[in-house]
Amino acid sequence: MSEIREYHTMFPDISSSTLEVIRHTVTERGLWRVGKEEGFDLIRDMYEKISSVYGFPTPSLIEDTYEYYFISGERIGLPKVSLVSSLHEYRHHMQKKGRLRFEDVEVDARGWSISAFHYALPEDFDSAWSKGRIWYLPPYSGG
Amino acid sequence: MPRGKEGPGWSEYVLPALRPTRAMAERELGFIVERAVANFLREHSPEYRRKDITGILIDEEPLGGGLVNYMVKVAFTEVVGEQV
Repeated sequence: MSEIREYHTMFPDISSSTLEVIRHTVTERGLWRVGKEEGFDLIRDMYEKISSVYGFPTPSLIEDTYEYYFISGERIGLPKVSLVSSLHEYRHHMQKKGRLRFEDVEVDARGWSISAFHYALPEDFDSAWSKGRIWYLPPYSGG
Repeated sequence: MPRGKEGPGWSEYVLPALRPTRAMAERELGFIVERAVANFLREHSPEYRRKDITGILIDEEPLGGGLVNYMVKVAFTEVVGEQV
């Protein structure tokens, strides 16, 4: 089974509060303009705000070699600042708390994270997709 | 090495280990990740390489007697550039 899918339309009903947190993190606070250390702090803050939307404890975030989620420790590792990757790992945290729409946890996390980017920032999403900067999507088809 | 499940763009590895003490937990996690990556590369190289690993999901299952099974899903795709 191919891992390439239309992940960006799999979650059309993500809460408006979550989408607003993502928009604010990117456009107001400048996630893609700041340095690495500040970017990690912005992602931590984003995690705290999204967690408050869903009533979850906030996972910890550290810089590490690989991108990962350690379920029992509720810890996320990221090698660099990436909106989609940070949302993908956060979705694994949501899965631990019982949020799972698609049976395959990786499909579910790809769908949620890429959909969240798509619906929060549609123009940035289109631009990133057209440049091949979102993993697992098919070739850009014009939106 | 026990083989876990497979899915679209991921392979799972089951890695038995001694349950680490609290002080050793972080270091142990690093070893577990590297063992999973080594297994992945043995299976999928040269089609996929280390740069194609997009994420790792680490679960654990206590076995009793101070042992634990780490279930590690390694997700991958052909990575041609950084993700936004």
